[in-house]
Amino acid sequence: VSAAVPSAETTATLPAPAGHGAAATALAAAPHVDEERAATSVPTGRLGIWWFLASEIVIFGGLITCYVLFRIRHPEWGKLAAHTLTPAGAVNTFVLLTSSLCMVLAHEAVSRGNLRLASQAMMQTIFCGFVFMGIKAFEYGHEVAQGFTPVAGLFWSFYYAMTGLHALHVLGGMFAILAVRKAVARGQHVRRVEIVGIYWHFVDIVWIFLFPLLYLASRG
Amino acid sequence: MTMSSETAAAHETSHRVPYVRIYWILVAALLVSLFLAFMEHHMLAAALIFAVALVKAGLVAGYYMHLKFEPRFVVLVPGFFADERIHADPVFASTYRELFSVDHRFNWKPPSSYQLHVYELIPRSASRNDGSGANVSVR
Repeated sequence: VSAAVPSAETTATLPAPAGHGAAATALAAAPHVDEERAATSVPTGRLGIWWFLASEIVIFGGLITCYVLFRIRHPEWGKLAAHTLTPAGAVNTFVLLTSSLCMVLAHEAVSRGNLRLASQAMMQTIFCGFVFMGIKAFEYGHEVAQGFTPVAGLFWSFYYAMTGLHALHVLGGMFAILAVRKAVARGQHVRRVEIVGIYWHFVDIVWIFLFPLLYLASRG
Repeated sequence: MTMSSETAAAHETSHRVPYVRIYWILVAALLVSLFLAFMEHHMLAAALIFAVALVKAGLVAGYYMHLKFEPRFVVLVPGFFADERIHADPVFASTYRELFSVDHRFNWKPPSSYQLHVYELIPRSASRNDGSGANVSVR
C-alpha cells in the first residue's frame, strides 16, 4: 500500500485552531505587531506574567502580613513610623502613579501602531523610576544619619526589607522596560509592552500598600 | 470560538479605557488618604486609609493591568477568589475543562481528520492495529 500524500483538499478539512484565523487577519493589517502565541484563551506571555505575579504576591503578601501582625502587637511602632518622611513617601506615590500612567499610555500607543510615542512614554516611565529611586536614596540617607539603620530595631528591619525589596523590583522593572523599549524602537516584540507594563503596575500596587503601612500609620 | 472572541474582546476593550481619568482618580485617592491620616479617630482612620488603598489597587489591577477584561481564570491565577460561580460560567468552564481535564490528557483520541491526515502517511503494514486507526504505533 502506498503512502498517501496529503492533498490540498485534506489539508482544508483540518479544523483551524481556535482564534488564529481572526488574529492572523488582524496581524496582516498591522505588520508592526509581532505574532501572538496563545496556548490557552490568553496570550502565553500575558498568562506567564500573571503566574510570575502570583509568586510575587506570595513574597510581598507574606512580608506585609507579617509586618501588620507585628504592628498590631506593638502600638509603640507608631512613634518610630513618625520618623519616616511622609512628604517624600507621598511624592513617591505620586511619581509611581504617574509612571504607571506613562506605561499604560505606551501600551495604548502600541495598539494604535504609534511606536515612536510608545518609546517616548516608556522613557518617561524609566525617568519616573529614576526619580523614585533618587527620593528613596535621599530618605535612606536621612534615616541612617539619624541612626535608624536596618538593625536599629524590628520596625526598621521591616521598613528596610519591605522598601528595599520594592526598590529592587523598581530597578528590575526599569531594566526590563529599557530592554523592551530597545526592541520596540526597532519594531520588534511590541506585545511585550503590555507584559512589562503589567509587571510595572504590580510594583505600583505594592507601593500603594507600603505607603500607608510604613508612612501614614504613624500614631498609636 | 468562545475563547478567541474572549481574547479579542480583551484587546478591543483595553483601547477604550479612560486611562487619564483613572489616573486623576488615583491621585485624588492619594490626597484623600493623606487627609485621612490627620483624623482624630486612629482606628477609623486606619480602616478608611486601607479601604482607599484597596480601591486604588483595584483600579490599577482592573484597568491598567486589564484584569477586568481578562477571562476569569486569569483572575484566579493570583488566587483572588474561587467559588462555584466560576465553574458555572460557560466560558470559564470550557477553558477549565480543556486545560485541566484528566480525560483530555489521558484518554485523548485523535479526531478523524487527524487520523486521515497524519497516520495515513505511515504504511498500513507498519501499524500493529490497522482496524481502528486510533491505536497506531509510530516507528
